[in-house]
Amino acid sequence: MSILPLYFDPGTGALVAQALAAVGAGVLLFYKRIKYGLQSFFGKKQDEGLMGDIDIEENKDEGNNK
Amino acid sequence: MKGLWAISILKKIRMKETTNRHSSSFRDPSGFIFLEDDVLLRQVNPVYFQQYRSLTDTGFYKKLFDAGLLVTHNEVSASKDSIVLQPECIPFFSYPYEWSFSQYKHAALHTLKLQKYCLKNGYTLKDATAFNITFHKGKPLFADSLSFDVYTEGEPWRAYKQFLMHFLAPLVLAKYYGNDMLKLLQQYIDGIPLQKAAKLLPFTARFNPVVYTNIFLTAKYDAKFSNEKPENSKSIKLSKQSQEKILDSLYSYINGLELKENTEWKDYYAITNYDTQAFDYKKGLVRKWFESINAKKAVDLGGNDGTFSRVLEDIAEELLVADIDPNAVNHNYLQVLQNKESNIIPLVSDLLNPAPGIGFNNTERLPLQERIRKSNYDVSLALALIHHISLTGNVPFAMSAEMFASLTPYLIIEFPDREDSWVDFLLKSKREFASYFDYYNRENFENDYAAYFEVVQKEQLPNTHRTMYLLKRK
Repeated sequence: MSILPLYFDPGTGALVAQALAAVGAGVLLFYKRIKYGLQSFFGKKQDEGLMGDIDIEENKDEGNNK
Repeated sequence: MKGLWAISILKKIRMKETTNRHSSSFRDPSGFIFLEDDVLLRQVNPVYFQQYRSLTDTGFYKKLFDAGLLVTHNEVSASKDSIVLQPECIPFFSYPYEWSFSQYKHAALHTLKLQKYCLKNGYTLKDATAFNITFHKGKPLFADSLSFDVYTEGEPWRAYKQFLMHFLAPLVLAKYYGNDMLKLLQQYIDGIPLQKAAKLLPFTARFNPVVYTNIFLTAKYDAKFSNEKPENSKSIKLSKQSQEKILDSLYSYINGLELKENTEWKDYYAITNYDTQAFDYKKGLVRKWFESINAKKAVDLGGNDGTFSRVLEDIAEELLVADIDPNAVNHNYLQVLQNKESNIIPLVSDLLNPAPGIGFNNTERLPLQERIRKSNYDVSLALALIHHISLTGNVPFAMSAEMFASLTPYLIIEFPDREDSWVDFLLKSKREFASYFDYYNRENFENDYAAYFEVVQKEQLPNTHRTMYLLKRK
């Protein structure tokens, strides 16, 4: 399937910068994971807040059908 | 004969593309929305057929509907020239410059959530404008069914820059400079240019790695490659895992963003000048009158954090609660989330300067008053508002009456007399100009409003200098 043309300019620079942003994000998430790991080891629960987590829970029925 | 028939069909399509086409829907060639017999429909153009079929056949549209991420739709017709969808009706469409901080944050998180879910299922968002999000049933909702494309392994997120310009830049600016920054999209309808955002942000903003990479670095690269041939961008690759890391880090950063700015609103109701009895009486009156006119939908103007609208929550279908104070609106939205309230829409709006029509021909994004009128609300609430409009805004009674009458057939309005301590305070703050407001009294109010409304009910609030009116448009 062909990629659709965009009605706006995605910006070549912004596409290049994503690779750098991903490296930064990788380092950050690595340290966050260690931090949360340590916190949960000492019994602190992570508060998801009112807006929830980024990951969508898949249809719960699937689990029941197994 | 056949030729004539084809020409007439073509003419019909062209007509639809111009006369019935919704004035906000022209940017994306994938399709457009239009009105037919007062029903809002979405046309899918042949250029998007492949994507549309894929999204339908793989069941991904259904998954998005089930997860509450995308506005639902039904296919009503299909031909070789167009597929027509009927999307779920969204009674009131709010714009980014009318959202409080938490709403803006939630809309950004919703977009990131959607993109991550798309990637997981082999799709990608090709478009991440904040105007694709609105608030419906107590949460953000993505309203454009044609913003998806099939994901090709290794392609970077093409809507990344758009996301930064529409969501991250205003939110980070608001973190440093306050709520007003969230109104920037009213000026920058295509999002805040990243170079501009980088210039405006304080030097210390660079110390946050998410802000540094996503705004400062992206702005730098964006400027550096601005003269590059677009073909070169095709060779740029980014793994899906890397893109997911960006989405995760942006999500975590935005979710943790806080805005600390004091506004007028701070325990507003704790400093009211009347007692609990009058407060409860007023609540009872609002509910009684709302029921007496068989109202279903109300717009609460100057509705603060929704305290009075919540009196109607169990009997109203929809409550639009607008207020000038972004912190009050923010508090309202947090309550909506906390209590999972599905019929309250909080909105930041200054009645003395409501959102105008902007964009191409000033009709791409509609004025607030027009959207309220089109949504057919039954009644407006204007509680503890008229003295602000009249005394702070210098708006004569006749003009405010005309404005209210243009919005809804009924009006519940509270009039505080000159003896009321708030009115007294406002009058005193006018200093030598105070005599200009000698007209401010109940008699003049009633006379001027009588040109537009008839009084259905009128009651004095006990132990106060305030009168409540239920008015019907003439």
